[in-house]
Amino acid sequence: MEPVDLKPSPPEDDPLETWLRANATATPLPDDGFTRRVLTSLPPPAKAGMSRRAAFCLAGALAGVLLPWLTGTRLPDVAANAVELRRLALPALQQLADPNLILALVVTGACLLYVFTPRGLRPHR
Amino acid sequence: MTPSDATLVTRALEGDRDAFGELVLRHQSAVRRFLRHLARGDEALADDLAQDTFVQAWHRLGQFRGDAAFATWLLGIAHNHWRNARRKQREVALEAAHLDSLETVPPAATASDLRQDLAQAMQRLDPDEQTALHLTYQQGLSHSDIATVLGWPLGTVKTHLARSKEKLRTLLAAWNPST
Repeated sequence: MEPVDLKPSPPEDDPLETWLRANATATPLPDDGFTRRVLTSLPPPAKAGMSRRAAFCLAGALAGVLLPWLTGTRLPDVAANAVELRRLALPALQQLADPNLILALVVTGACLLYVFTPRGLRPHR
Repeated sequence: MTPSDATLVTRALEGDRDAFGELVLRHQSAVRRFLRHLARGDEALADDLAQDTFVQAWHRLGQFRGDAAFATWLLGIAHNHWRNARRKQREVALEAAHLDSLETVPPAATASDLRQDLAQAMQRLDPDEQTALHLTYQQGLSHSDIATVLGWPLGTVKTHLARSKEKLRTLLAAWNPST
C-alpha cells in the first residue's frame, strides 16, 4: 500500500474544506410517516403474565412434589435416602479439599459468571 | 425540557414505544440520508433498509452501552444492513444492473456549477472514500465515530479522508488556482 500523507486536516481557509462544508445538506429529511411505519412494524409487546422460563420452573417444582406422592414414596424413605447420600458424598467432598482443585473451581466459576452476566451489568472497561 | 437520547433509551427498554418513536423521529433523517448515500440515491431501498435498521435497533436496544452516541450506534447498524443487502444483491447478480441504472442519475439540476463539479468529482472517488467524506461532512462525525460506524481502524479512516481530499484537489484544480 502506498504511503499516504496523514497530515492534519487543512485549515478552515482551505477552499476544498469550505466547499465540502458548504455542500453539506443542513435541512433534515422530512419524516413523511416514516416513524409511524417503523412503529407499526415493531413486534407486539410481550403479553403480561408468566414468562416461559417461570412456567418451566413451576412445572418442574410441581412434578417434583407430585411424583413422590403419586409413586407412594414415604417421608421415612426420603430421610433414609438422605442419610445414605450423606454417607456416600462425604468421602467425595473430602477429596475436593485439594487447593489446586479449589483454585480450578474458582476460576471456572468466575468464567461462567462473566459469560452469563448480561452485558449491561458487566463493569465497563 | 427535551429528554436526552439516553433517557429515551431507558424508557424504551421499559417498553415505552412512544420514547422509541421519539428516538426514530430524531434520528430518521441521519439514518435515511446515510443509506441514500450508500444506495446511491435509491430512496426506496434506502428507506426499506432504514426501517429494518430501526426495527433491529429496537430488538438490540439492551446492547446499547452508551460508549458512543446513539446516532453513531444507529449508523453502525445501518451500515451493517447495507452490507448484508449488498451481499444478497450480489448473490442474485442484480447489483450490476441496479448500479448501472443508478449511475445515469444526473446530479441535482439546481446545483451551481461548482457544486455540480464537486458532486461529479465525488462520484469519481472510491465508494469507501465517498462514505468517509459523507460521514465527515454530511453527518458531522469525528474520525473515531466514523471508525466505529464502519468498523475500520482509525488509521484507515484518516487514510481514506486524506486520499479523497487529494483526489478532489486534483479534480477541482480548475476552480482553485492556488493549488
